[in-house]
Amino acid sequence: MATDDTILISDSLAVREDGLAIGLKIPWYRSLWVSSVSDVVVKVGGAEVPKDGLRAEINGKSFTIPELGEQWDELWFLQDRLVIVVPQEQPPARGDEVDVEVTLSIRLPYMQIAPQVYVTNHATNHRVLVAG
Amino acid sequence: MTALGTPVQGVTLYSFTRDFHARKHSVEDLVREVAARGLGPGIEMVGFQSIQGFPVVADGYVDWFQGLIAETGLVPTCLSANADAGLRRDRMLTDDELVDYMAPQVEAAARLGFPVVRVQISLTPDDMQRLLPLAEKHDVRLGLEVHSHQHPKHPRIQALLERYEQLGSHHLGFVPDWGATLREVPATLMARYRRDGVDEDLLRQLVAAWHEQDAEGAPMTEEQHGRWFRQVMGLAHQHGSGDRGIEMAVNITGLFGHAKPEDWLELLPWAVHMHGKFYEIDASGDEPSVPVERIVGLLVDDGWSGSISSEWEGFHWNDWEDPFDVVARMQALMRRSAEDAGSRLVTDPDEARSVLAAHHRRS
Repeated sequence: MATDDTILISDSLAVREDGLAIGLKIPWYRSLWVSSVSDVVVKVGGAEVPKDGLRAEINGKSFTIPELGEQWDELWFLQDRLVIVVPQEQPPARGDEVDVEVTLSIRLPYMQIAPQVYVTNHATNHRVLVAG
Repeated sequence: MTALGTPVQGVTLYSFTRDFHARKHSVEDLVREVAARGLGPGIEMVGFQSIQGFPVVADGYVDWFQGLIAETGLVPTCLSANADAGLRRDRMLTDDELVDYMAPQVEAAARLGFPVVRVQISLTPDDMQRLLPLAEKHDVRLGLEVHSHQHPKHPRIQALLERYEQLGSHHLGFVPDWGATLREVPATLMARYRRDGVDEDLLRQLVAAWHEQDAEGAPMTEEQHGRWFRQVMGLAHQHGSGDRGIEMAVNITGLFGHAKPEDWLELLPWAVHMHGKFYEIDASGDEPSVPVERIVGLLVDDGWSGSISSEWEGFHWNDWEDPFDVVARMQALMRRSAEDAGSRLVTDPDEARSVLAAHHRRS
């Protein structure tokens, strides 16, 4: 899309006790309702992580990926990060390099192109990140 | 003979999206920088960009913002609202819900001291009529943005104009966005594509397609716009850039409008504020894609004295220029253009307040 499609930045990756936390920038120029997130696909080390294991955290709350579509009164502020939590039995150590690819699809709720069809921005970023 | 217009210079913080998004600057940093560099006095914000938790705005935020405005001497011109008709996944908002959705945004604008609320094309003439009592109650003006691929002669805009004329309220109007009236594809976008390794032949064909569509004239139907969109997608696919086809089609057929600058004249009596959309300023100080000089000349000749926000949208692809510098150069071009037309742009805050009070018919 026309706008800055950067979702992964150098400090996106953090290690938790039970996995990875990947902080995403919103690939649009304004805050959007969390219901605008229509899909999240995560690959770690080239392998896709099963979607039902992922959680998404924002505004101090935690959702499954399908639940995001219902959150039409939860705002993703432009400067905030949507944190995708990837469960791992043996998370890497801080300072380790991890190959991460994320595809985030967002539906723009005011750019309609047909009944119930909105312009969707698919942002894919692939980076080797240092775990923080 | 109409007295010459003296439009008010200003800027929207949208021009600085890239740095704000990257957390390089806060809203306070941006407002102070705008004041320090003389890019006002007018200042516009996008509610859903600049204000955390929008459209809920705490009293403390209102106090803080008004303090910042008083200290910097800037003049709030417009708060940009969004009409998110597709908010829910399962269905469109009903007209009642959409009106309810706009209400807190309108109220927030009034509390923050903005005389104009920019609204969007999802709103129908009926919706605008239903919002009128709210605008009257808060004494703000609702300006529906006329943004490419819509344009002054587009049937949806004409339907709104007709309703405005029936209702005759100065609380309803338009915010013309100069991106509807381009004369050339921005060279900086082509430079960006070139840097990204896009095929040179495709670049030539994208520009040629835009000129072909320009010769056809601004689109009057969604079918026509759809045909253009598919044409650009097809070119991208033929040249091995299929993955960027949608982006190229959105840019070429969605952002770079084909209306003529004179088309704005019909809407000027209803123009509550303007988005001085621009993409680039070349070495000679001109804007090769948006005919800034021509548009400012028309406004001045027609006696229009509202606020213009310089709105730099080149940041979508241009990350090599400083947004504050680009805005300053565009404003120099606007000031020169007004002077060449025998008038000037208002840059003094006190004068801006009094000119805008008259424009908005506030005493």
